[in-house]
This record gives sequence, C-alpha cells and structure tokens, in this order.
Amino acid sequence: MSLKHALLVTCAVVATTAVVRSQPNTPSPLAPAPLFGSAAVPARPADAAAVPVGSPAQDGKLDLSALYYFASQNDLGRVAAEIKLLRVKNPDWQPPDDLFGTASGVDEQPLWDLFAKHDYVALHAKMAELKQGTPSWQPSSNLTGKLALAEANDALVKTSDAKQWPAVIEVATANKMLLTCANVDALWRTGEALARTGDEPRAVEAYRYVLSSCDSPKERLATAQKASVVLPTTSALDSLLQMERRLPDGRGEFEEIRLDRFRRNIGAAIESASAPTPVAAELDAITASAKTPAGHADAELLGWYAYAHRDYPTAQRWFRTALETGTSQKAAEGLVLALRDNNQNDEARAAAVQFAGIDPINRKLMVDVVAAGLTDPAAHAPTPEQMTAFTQAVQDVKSQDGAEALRWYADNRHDAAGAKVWSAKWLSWKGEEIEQVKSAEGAEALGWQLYQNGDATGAEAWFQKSANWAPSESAAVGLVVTARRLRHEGDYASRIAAYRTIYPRVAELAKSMGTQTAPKRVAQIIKVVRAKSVTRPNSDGWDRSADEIVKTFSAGSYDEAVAMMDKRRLNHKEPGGLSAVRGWAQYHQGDWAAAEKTFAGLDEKEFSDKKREALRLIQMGYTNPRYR
Amino acid sequence: MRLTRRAGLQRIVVGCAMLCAPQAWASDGAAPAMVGGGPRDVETATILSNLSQNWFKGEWAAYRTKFVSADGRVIDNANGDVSHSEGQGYGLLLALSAGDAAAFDTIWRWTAGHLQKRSDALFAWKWDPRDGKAVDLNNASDGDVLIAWALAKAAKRFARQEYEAEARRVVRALAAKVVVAHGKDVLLLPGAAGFGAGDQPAGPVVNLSYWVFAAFPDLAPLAPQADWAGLRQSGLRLLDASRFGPRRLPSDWIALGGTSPAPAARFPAQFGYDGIRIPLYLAQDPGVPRETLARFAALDGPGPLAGGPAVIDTGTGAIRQPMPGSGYRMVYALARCATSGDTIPPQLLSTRDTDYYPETLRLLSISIVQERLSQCL
Repeated sequence: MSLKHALLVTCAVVATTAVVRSQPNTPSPLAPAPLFGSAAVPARPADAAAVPVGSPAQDGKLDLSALYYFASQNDLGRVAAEIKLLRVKNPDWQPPDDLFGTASGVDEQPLWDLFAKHDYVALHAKMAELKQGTPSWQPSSNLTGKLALAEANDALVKTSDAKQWPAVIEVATANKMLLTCANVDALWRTGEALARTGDEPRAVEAYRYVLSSCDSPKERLATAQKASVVLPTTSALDSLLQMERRLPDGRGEFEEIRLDRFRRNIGAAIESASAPTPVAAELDAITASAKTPAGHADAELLGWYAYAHRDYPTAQRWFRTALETGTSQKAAEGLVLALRDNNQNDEARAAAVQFAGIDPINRKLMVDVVAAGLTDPAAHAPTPEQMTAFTQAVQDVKSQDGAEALRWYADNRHDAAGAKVWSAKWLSWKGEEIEQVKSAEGAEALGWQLYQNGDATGAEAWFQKSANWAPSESAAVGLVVTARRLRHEGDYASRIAAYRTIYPRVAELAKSMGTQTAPKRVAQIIKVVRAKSVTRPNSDGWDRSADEIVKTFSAGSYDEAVAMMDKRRLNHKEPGGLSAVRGWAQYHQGDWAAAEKTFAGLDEKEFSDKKREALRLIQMGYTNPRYR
Repeated sequence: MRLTRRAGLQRIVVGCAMLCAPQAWASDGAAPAMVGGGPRDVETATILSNLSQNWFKGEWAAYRTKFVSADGRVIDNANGDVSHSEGQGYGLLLALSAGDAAAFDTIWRWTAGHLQKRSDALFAWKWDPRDGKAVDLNNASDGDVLIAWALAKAAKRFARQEYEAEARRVVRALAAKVVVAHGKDVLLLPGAAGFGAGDQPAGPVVNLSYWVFAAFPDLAPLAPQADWAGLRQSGLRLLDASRFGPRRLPSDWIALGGTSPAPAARFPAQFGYDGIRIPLYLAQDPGVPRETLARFAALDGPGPLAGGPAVIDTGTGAIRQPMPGSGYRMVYALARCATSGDTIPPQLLSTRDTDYYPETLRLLSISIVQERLSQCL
C-alpha cells in the first residue's frame, strides 16, 4: 500500500469517527432546542451524510427555518452550508435572493441604529416611511429576521416576567429560534413556563438541552439551579444533575446544587415534624461539608436539626463549630437556646452575654435569658459584669420584661429606690409602645392598671387616649370613674351625659352613684368591662407574634414573614389583619396566584376596600402593560 | 520617518502564533478541493458567490460607517485616528468589491486631495488629524500599488476613464522610483527614499508584504517599461529564500545586500503585523504555487502556537505578543481554504473586529473568498 493510500485510509477512519461523534442524540449548540418539534438545523456541513437535514417537511415543502435563522444572524458561513445541503437534497431548489437584502439604494444604517437602541416602535415607523419613499424597497431579511427575533424575545421576557405561562409557551412555540445556547435565558423562561403549567417532561427537555449543548459553565450551573427550584419531582432533577461535567479540581459541577437540595430537605425537617426525615446519605454529605473550613453554615444547619430533635448536646457542638470560623447571629442564638433548653442556665446566660453584641436579635435573647434567671429563685446570681451588660441592654432596647425583672430583683433585695426606678421605666416604655401603635386596648388596660394602683390621673390620660383611638365601653367607664375619683365634677357630669345613652354600663354607673351599694356596684362593673377588654384582642387572634411578623414584613423580608406566618398558623388562628399582611407578602414575593387566593379569602365586610384594591392590583399585574 | 513607520503605528511585531501540525490535506498531495465538476455544483458555486456579494455589501456598510469619514478618509482608530496611503488603498478596494461607486469616489477624492502632495504622483504615506495635513511626504510603495490597482479596476468596473488616467500616473511614478533591478532580481523598494543599497546596512531593504501579487498583471499595461512579471517572480523567489530561525519564517524587513537574504538590521527581527499580509496577497493570486502559500497556511491549526495569530521573533521562534482579532485568524483560514479547500469557520465570517487593521484584513479576505473561492463557504 502506498503512503498516499495509507493516508487516505487513515483520513477515512478519522472522518467516520468524526461523523459518529457528531451524530449522537445530543443536539448541536446551533440548533434550537427541539421542545416544540424539530427545526432540523444542521450543525455543520460535515454532518450532512450522517444526519438528515434540510429535509422536506411533512407538507412536502422545504424547511427553510434554519436558512432564515442563519441569515437573520448575518451568518454567511452557515447560510452557505445550509444552501449546499438543501441543494444536495433538492437540486432544483434556488434560494430566495433577498437573504441578505438586495442593493436597493436604501441605506439601512439608520434602521440598524434604531435596532441597536431597542426602539422597535420607531424602527417600524421608519421602515414604513422608507417604504413610502421607495415603494420597491424591502427591508433586508437580515433586519426583518433579527427584528422579529428581538421582538419575540421581548414578548417572551415580558410574558414570563408577568408569569403568564401559557403566553410564554405560545411565544416560544412560534419562535423556536429563540431557544438556542446564544439565548439561554429564553430557554430558562420557557422551561419555567412549562413546569408551571404542569408540563414537566418538556420542562426537563429545556434544561436538558442546555446541559447537553451549551458550554458556558456559569449558564450550566444556573440552569441546574433553576431546574432545582422549578421542577416538582426529585427524579426529574436527578436526571439533569447526572449530566454534570467534572470540574478541574475533580468535583462535579453541580455538587453544590445537590448539597443545596439536601440542605433544603434538612431545613424542611427542622421546620416541620411532618416533613420527610432526611436520609442518612444527605446528613452524611452535609456533615462532611460542615467539617470543611467553609462549612459553618452547614454546621449551623445541623445544629438546628439536632435542636429540633431536642438533642441539645449535639446541637451545642455544631453551633460551637459554626462559631469557630466567625461570628454568626443564628449560630450564637442557637447555642444560647440549646444551653437554656438543656437547663444549663449559667452557661446559657454566659453565652447570651458573650454574643449579645452580634445583632439586636442576640441582644434581645440575652435580655430574655438573663431576665428569666433573675426571676428564678433557683438560679445563681449573675456576675456584676453580666448585670451591667444586662441593665445596659434593657435600657437600650427598652425591654419591658427586663424592667419588670429588674424591679422584681430590686424588690427582693429590699432596694425600694431601685424598684421604683424600674417600675417607672416599665411604665414609660409600655406607654411609648402603646402610643406608637395607637393601641386602644393597650391604653385601656394600662389605664385600669394605673387606676388599680391608685394613679387616677395617669389612668385618666390613658382612658382618654383609648377613647380617642377607638371608643369603647370600657374606656368610657374608665373616664367616668377616674373623673369621679379625682372629683372633677364637671368632667364627670359631661361624661355621664355623653356616654349614658351609648353604653348601658355607664347608665348603670350613673344610676348607682350616690347609693349605698355604689362602691360594690362600681367594682363589679369595672371587673366586667376589664374582662371584656382583656379578651378582646385575643378574640381576633392578634398577639405579640403577629406584631413581630408585621415588623418583619415592614422590613421587606417577605420570605421570612410568610415563613413566620406559616409557622404561627400551625398553632394560632390567623387574624384577618394578618392574612392581609400575608397577601401583600406573597404579592411582593411574586407569588401572585397565592396572593390572589389569600385576598379573596378575606372577610368581605371587614376588609372590603383593602380586598378590592389588592385584587385590582394583582389583576393589573397579570395584564400586558400594552393593554392596561 | 519612513523607517519608523510600523513602529509609529505601534504594530511592533507581527506573525502567526499557530504552528503547523501536519494536516491530512497537506500530506496527501491532492489539489485543493474545488467545487466538483458537475453543472449543479457550478451553479451552487455561482449562487454562493452572488449570495456572499450581497452579504458583503452589509459588511462593507458597517465598515464604512465605522472607519470611513463622510469626506472619504479611512481612519486607523487604533493609531490616533491617523490615515495612511495603505488604508486609503484598502478602502478603495473594499468599496470596489462592494460595488459602492459613490464611496469609492469620495475616498479617492480625499486621497488625491490630501496625500498626493509630492512632486511625483505618489502619495505621502501618513496624514495626522492633529496636524490636519500629511506629516511625512515619503511614500509607502504598497499604498501606492493598492491605490493604483483600485483605480485601474474601478475604471473598468464603474466605466470611469479618468480613474485609469490617474492610475497610469501613479504606476509610471512607481516604475520610475521604486521598481528597481538588483542583481538578477526586480525589487519593490518600500519607499522612494531611504531603502537603497547606500541607505541601509546591507541594503537594499525590502518588505515582502508590499508585494501585492495579484495587482502586478493589472498594473503592467499602464507602465510597460517596468518588469512587472520579473517583480512578481522575484517576490516569490525571495519568499522562498527568506526562511529565518526555527520557524523558517521571513522577517517583516529583509536586507538583500549580503550573499543571501537576512533580517534587516535596523528593524525588529520578527514576522508580525506586516507579514500577516503575505498569505493574504498570495491567496489573492490564483497563479501562486500552492507550496508557497501552504507554508503560511500551515501556521493555522493545532500545535504549540494554537492560541492564535501572534508576532513571532524570527531569531528565536518565540511568540512576542498575541495578535487578537478575528481578521488575523481570517487570513490564515483563507490561506488554508485556498490550499486545502477547508471551509472557513463561520464564526470568523460573522465576528467583526473593532479595530481598523484586523477588520480591514477580514474584509479583504472575505472579498477574496467571494471573488474566487466561494467553495470556502
């Protein structure tokens, strides 16, 4: 065999190998994702012999979509390859002669300038104008192709931003050429739309296309991340994660995503006892990660997992591990709680003081823990340093519980002056809180407390505030009895006159005043209205945890607010006001469907205006801005 | 100064970073794969050629917008927006390929009005916008050749006789000033002044990237007194004889006063931004022997220098600096296509460069493809 022949044979083998390698089912990165029927786009001319392309479509017509697509990309090389293929299959076929525009004497540059500025409205206007001036002129297919694709992409982005999933799929179906590696974002949006409309198999195909065809490491990782969020079933995600490539350091490119899923499962198990128990492999993987230098977040997670299982020693160990590599608000909080709940009160207090400076949350926890210790007769006394830190924090955060504990502590040590100081601080902070939220119920309760303690002047002021914010029988009775006690006869008479026709118990009070049984009767009436006022806030389920949730919501932490409400709802009835907060949190989260459901469920009478406004806003959000 | 021209343009070193792993096509000795002989194939080739000409108009329009001022000045945006006779020549050739008679005329008017300032018909090689005038009246022979060639072809293409008269003046001046005999060779001196036997150590000094091979047959009828065929033959012979250093490449500047060609002493010994045009001009000329071009085509492809075109030190063979830009890759892809029939990678066709020089080379390569190598698509 001559050298030349040997070389030719070698070449033939190489060529065959090349064809076989380019032939597998993995689509070419140039071909669009075959989600909505194949577009039959050739990867390279070399594939012609192996892969049928440019073949007649079902209706007998040639499929020219690839040709037009490449022309729209100004891609002469691929246009030429496609033309060659088409002519091999159909020797008589002639390509359209306007693929790259024809010499019409019209300068398209101004049009391209508008295109570059994304000003498609002006571009259409300009084209119409040019057409009027030169009726024979046609915009180049390069321009019309790119414009159509750009407008389709805009529509895809807009509909998917508005979560109009069926519309997204419609746009993608009509513009398959959007779905290529050059525009992975369009593939993600289409994938999500398919998943959200329940078409998981095709959603998986969208992600699979990226992972098999596109090479950008960032885009691949983002694809797996998006799939892990969007796909409902684990097996579907697993099949995608198996397509991972090896990183130079030997790790799989999706390892972090896999770990994230384990973390989510463990997190769910922490949140709810009814969630599936994480399997050993998941816990092992996270344990291994927790032991790495960057594993403090995982150590923290395992700490909470142990804490949820009341395995406090283990929890303490993980939280301490997490704290070794740096301060962490949550880990510090976890450690204090795990010590406290394990009845290691002295250690809990020491840790609480140690970490109080990390975050206001830790400072608050320190106040709670130290306050509980102060009022516990069995606890050891805090050190002077702890006391100093504690009283400073109590004043900084104006902690009423802390002030109460300090008053109690002073009383116990026969420190009357100290007790008085903390008592006054408590009153002042309580008052501030009530003023801040304009709580009629709180004002009234404080009024009664002061009245009971013999401070009729203080009590009257709070009754007045309560009545101003929200008139009630209890506040009215309070105003009447304080005026009586302060011997403000004028006020007494005018209040009786104002309230007696509205509130039966004020009428009753007026009648019994001056009689023998007056003191007893007054005490009875006060008892009745106070009882009513104390139970009222509970009747609609509003409590301190609801206040916390509102604070979280107001701080813009919508995810957290919803999570808090979900947790709270397990044990408490959700008041309508809080449900409205839930609706807005969901709205801001972008979960409009859930928000719509929440608002629709609000009581028609109590929330009619708020409800209508919210539902209108949501509806508006769903509507294409063009038709608003 | 003429001598510092390229240094002034800051294209310090030129070459190709791609070493030549032997290619299958290079070993089997077959002729370049041309479009086969059937009438269908010929028709397909015609279709592709027409198509690429249509497409080229769009590329030219983008080039014109970016690099040609409204009054016809071709702007080297990477070198302080200067203009030079070479750039004007390229602008004219590209306008011609795109069939853009209006742009051709505008560029020619600017060239004649601003650069044709010498006592002969040759062109001052450099014009600087900061001075608003030609700053060096010496000529660059390649610029003169390119302008004259463009004028000669435009006279026929656009039926403008006055262009041929202008071309004739330039070609006659070239014949008188820079086409010179040296021993058995005919040389194209790089400029009318400064490159002769007495001007340079081991002079005369030439630059082989000034040989626009395909132009010479078109220039010959305009000044038959010069030996244009000999000039062409000498260029090919000198290319063959100039193989320096481990990579056997010619340096951009070559001294011919010794017993054999050698890198010129006053210039960096490198194959760089000048030399990259050698394969371009060889590919443009269908009469160039395949082996002559194959040597440069082999620089493209896998190998220790597969990182892309680069300036190569002809003494050591080392890479001095990379030459980023798809235009440079395009030249080598063109060379490969012309020698082997390999299609040009599509991304090179569709990736525009942002600088004048590589984008010019890219469009020149494309114009060559569309005119005689449509099988490369």
